[in-house]
Amino acid sequence: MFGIFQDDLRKRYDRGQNSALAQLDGIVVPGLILARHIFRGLKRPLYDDGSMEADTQKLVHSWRPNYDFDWLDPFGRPRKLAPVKNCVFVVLITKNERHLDKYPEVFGWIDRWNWVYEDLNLPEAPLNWSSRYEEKIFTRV
Amino acid sequence: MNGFVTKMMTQFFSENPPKGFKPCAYYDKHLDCIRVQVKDCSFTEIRLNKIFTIYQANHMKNIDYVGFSIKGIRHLFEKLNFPKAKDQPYILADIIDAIVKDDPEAFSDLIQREFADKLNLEIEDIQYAEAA
Repeated sequence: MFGIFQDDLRKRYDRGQNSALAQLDGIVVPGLILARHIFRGLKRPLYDDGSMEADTQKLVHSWRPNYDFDWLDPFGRPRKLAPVKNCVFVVLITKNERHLDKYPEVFGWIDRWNWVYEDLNLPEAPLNWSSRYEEKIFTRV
Repeated sequence: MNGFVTKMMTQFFSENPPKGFKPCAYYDKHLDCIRVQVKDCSFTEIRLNKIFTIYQANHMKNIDYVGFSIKGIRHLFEKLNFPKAKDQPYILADIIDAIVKDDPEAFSDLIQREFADKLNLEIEDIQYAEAA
């Protein structure tokens, strides 16, 4: 099971980042379990949640969803759109290690979700994945 | 409000009316980066190098880019010996200034690679004394 901090949702809501919330609802929640690939470790320095080596703890899920969503008019409804051409959707997750006492059922925390260009050599993987991530740990066949 | 896939979001927005977007810059603590976003829409993140990523708008006419991020901020602050000011906001221009000064050639290459064809600048025979 994955979780997202309420504070993170609230900040996106307060900023009016409604398209990101529509994508969370329409792509991330129903699609995360269908991820084609999972990568571990970002190849860049990253400090997070008290860890000086948080880059090694990040998990990146990628797949090609059937739809995209945005929400340009806050008085209207989210729009269901065609997926972005030549792109895949990625969700960055922090494995739950520091909050296991309070949330033992949560495997990881959703940090970020967005589109990136697809790597032509590995369908449904982000462009240049081998230089961006430490390793590929799962591929759904 | 309808149009959501999950009960979670349906419930959330039934209690919280959606807000309008305003351009913003903020620190993303989970990914240790500064994010700047000027329009709310779906976008594709394009990684330019280890530090800079730009946001290319999806499904939009006449809009190419809607933001960017600067990654590895805390690491950069230590490397560049950036002054620590816990209770004061940092000025974005100061951060970019420090990054550019740290590695001007990499930054120049980046600009050249990404924007040379779009800027279409013709610079020849500049007389600096006159220009000044």
